[in-house]
Amino acid sequence: MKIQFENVSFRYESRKTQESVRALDFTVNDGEFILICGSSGSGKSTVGRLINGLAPYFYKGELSGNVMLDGRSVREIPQAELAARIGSVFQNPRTQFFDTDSTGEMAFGCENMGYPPEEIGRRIKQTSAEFGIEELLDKKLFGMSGGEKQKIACGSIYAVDPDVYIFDEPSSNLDLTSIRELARIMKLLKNRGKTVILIEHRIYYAMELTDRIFYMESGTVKEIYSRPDFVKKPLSELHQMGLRTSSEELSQLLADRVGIRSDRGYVDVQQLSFSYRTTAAHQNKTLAIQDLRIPKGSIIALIGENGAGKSTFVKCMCGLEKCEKAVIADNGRKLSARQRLRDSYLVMQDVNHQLFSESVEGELLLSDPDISKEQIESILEMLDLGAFLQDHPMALSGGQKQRVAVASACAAHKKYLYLDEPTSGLDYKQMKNMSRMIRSIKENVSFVMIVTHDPEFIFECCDHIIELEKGSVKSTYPLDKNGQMKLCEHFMSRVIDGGRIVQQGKHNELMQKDGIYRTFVNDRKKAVSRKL
Amino acid sequence: MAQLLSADLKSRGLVLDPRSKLALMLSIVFFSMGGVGSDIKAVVLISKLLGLIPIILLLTAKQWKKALAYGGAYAVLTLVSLELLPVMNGGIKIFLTICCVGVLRFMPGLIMGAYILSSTTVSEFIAAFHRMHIPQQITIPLSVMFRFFPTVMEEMQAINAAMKMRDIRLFGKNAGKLIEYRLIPLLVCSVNIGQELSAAALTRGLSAPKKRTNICRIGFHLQDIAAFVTALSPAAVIICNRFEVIA
Repeated sequence: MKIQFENVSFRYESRKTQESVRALDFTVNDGEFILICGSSGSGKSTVGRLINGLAPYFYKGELSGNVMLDGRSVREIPQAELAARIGSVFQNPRTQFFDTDSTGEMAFGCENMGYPPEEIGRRIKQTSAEFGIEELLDKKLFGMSGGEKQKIACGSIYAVDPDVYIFDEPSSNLDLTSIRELARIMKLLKNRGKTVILIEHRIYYAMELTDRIFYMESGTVKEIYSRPDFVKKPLSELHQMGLRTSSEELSQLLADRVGIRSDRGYVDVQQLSFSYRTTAAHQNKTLAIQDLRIPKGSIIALIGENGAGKSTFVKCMCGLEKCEKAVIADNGRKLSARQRLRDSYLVMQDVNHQLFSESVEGELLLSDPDISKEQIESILEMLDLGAFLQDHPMALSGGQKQRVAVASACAAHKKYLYLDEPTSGLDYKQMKNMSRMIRSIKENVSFVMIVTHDPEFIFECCDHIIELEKGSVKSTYPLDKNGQMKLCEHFMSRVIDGGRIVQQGKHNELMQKDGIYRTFVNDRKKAVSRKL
Repeated sequence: MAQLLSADLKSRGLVLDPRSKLALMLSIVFFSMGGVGSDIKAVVLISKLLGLIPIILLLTAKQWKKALAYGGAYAVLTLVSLELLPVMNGGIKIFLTICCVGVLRFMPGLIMGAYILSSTTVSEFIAAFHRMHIPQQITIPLSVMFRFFPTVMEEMQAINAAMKMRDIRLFGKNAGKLIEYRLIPLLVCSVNIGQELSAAALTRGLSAPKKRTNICRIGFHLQDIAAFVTALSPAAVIICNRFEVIA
């Protein structure tokens, strides 16, 4: 389907003062794969909503100009027809489901279209075979992992078989493996000649599929690149544009912090075991940490695939989950669950639950009633939130809320700080600001432990790595020269190129083969030695 | 609560049509709980037997623990009310009577309700409502509401955890705000989720003017006939009885 924007501007009713997008003029050809990128607030989601008709049908506002689909104005097409021809996958899988079981969910769109049940059954079968998700059928959606839910979401759209697919930041809640799976599904769509609009700030995973890249800034399409032109851009320029990069480019992220050691001692964790439900297979799994040493005075990245027990571990550590047998001691002094709960602060993945006050200022005051006006301002300034001092936290965007939550954690003067995926909704600049913020409080806390899938952020911010696998500690190492190599290996051991796994294996095996991995590691070695 | 209307399709045992479940539920409510027709001996006996139906259903759904706990409690209380109460007197008798009668009356209904919610999916409910010719204007909001409960429960748990992090708890430093701090994020989250759900619903054609279809194969089988016979039997007994009285 051909999509044309003719001088389109849109102003949300709720934000009358400012046009969300203005004077958009472009054409997307049938079967094209378009990546729309830009920092948060640049109006990229609005473009998606204008195509699927949510703006102005659902998100009311003032639309001028014309959005044309195959020569017909969107305004003349009834919503039901739009639904049949344009499929949308959103950021949060939790809020796009209607059924509580996967098969019912896959059928939902088709049922609305009034297709006969036999036909729907056939479509579900075909979709699940093509996506490779047969084992997810007839399962409960609650308790599935983010990646699985997102696959079901894609599948339920695919079953309706629309001409256009709009993805609005679909990777936000996914780990690397799930992102690769998502890219594979997108490739399938492209091969079937579908028009795909991908709205993202993580640009790497679908780069191979992309025909053109639209870069948006403050409501306009500032630049349209072809893929060959775009991939030639140096990393610094992409960062300037607020874009996040791929793990292949980690070599360029090398931090200048080699062998940071603090002598503030350790927090030791022993015999921590806890049974948790993993989302992947609906099985109970056990977290079993025999002996783990956490260096104080450092920022620790807790990494591992979905279901490895990262979030559960963090909850046990801060005393939210009871694990009586665990011995957790700070420089030999044993900490009870109650003490840990008192001295810990956890910022959870979904920040909507964690903001309680009427204003951003109040949020910080709640953390620390004695905080001075200047301190509040400096914290907010550091996180680019200065303008929102008096705003209601719930009125902010997702990324802004995330920063407010971290800001209140930093202001809370707790000893142990845990952050669960604090950068999932942030663009490059905001991620950097957050990293600066966290580093600035490092001296005042015992440690900061960050659950994250974000390699850029780890290189920017962390000193130490703990990797979990299937509920136990796989490895733990400082992020010094060797540690950085090791971390790269973790992110690179399955070398992906545009969503396709091109190489897979252990470090040594990969080093013996000629290929992208060896080239990469050798480049890195050079880079490391240069720095030293 | 997380079990609510999210049945695991592969392990739920005997599958009854949602309408049969509703019929059984109504029958239990009328005769076991409401005590309709308790002047007739046969009806009282049948209503006692109706109380056993949730146990049977739980057993078929392999929910052993629940079935055992409920069945045990039901048996003990029935024994107490039949054997022990007549030989007792005084305050204890009154107290025990209230306990036994109350629990015996309400328990079957509650357990049946729990069974229905844990063994039926949202789309089955919709399909059943559709067959009963209940208009879409009622079934669709209802289905979204069902979809909403487990989500709200999840939200509640997350909010509680977050409140602990910020020392908002009984006897904590922000105890005064306990209710406000719980309700506001919950409301905001519910509104947000509601809005995102509605937006997603529109893009997936929920508003389409075409008649909706449903892939759930609901329909009456042998077990449903049995269910309906059981559900209707007390009413049949009452009707026969009345006619005899008139004649």
